[in-house]
Amino acid sequence: MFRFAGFIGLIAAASIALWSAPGRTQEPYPSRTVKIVVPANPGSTTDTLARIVADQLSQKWGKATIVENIPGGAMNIGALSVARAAPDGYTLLIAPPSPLSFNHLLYRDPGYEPTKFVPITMLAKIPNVLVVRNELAASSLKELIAYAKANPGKLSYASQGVGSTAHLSAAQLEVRAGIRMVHVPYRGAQPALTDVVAGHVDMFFDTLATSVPLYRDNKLKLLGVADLNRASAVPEIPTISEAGVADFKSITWFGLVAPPATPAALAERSTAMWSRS
Amino acid sequence: MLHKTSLEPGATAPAETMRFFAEEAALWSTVIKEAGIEPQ
Repeated sequence: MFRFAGFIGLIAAASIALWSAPGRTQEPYPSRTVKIVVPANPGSTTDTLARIVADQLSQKWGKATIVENIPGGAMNIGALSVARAAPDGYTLLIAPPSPLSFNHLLYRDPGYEPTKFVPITMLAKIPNVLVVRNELAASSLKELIAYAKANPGKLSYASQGVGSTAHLSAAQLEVRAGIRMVHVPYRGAQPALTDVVAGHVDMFFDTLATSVPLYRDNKLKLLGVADLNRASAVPEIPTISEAGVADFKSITWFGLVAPPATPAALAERSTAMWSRS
Repeated sequence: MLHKTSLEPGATAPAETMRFFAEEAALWSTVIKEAGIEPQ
């Protein structure tokens, strides 16, 4: 069941709990405009999600909640701006996994530590799927792995760039299946997917939403869902674990966090608010 | 609204969110190390 009202209620409750912690000046929260930083361009999935949340929070709080796009630097620029913001609840960050989980392992000095952000909620998620070009001589994950083992370094995979979820998902497949492939980084998901459809690159870990329509139109093959359960949109497609690579998982998700040193959340209160909503 | 983006609402409480972030960080940290991906 779609629980968006409860979802916004949780965010509002969690945020208020954060900034109403004992010992803080008892100024009602929010008493002025709240800014949500998006470390990606307008029109991206992260941006779309942030604008939905901002609109709903504005209505619920009766105070403006605005979105500021600070793209660039593999999302490190926007994330850094929030890491350096005052921990007063008026600057928040909505981001996908990279700046919240692993950019500090991929970049020598991003200027912030992802684990220091104060989590508010995981807003939304979507599984990734493994798609391959139609002409590739593999129609299952097992056949793909066999092909890769027989032809080391011949298979190519697209990604949105070094350190993207698609890159790391393919790296995960290489490690767990014991295969070696060639990485072809693109400037975003759309050109990567376009080249898979055109047959210029062999495979791509894409989100379910954009790949399924192309799969239904027979423009590419869908070999596996990178989650622990099958996706209701394509119940005929096995998970990658079912297809032979145990415990394989790659989902795209979006988190809402506050700057480091923001007072710790009163989680019990937030959970109680959520269960009532 | 959200369902139009095909995203599944997560809506986890802060403690659960912290656990989820930690699990994801551990997963990708292992992949990065095992794949030998060097920091840029």
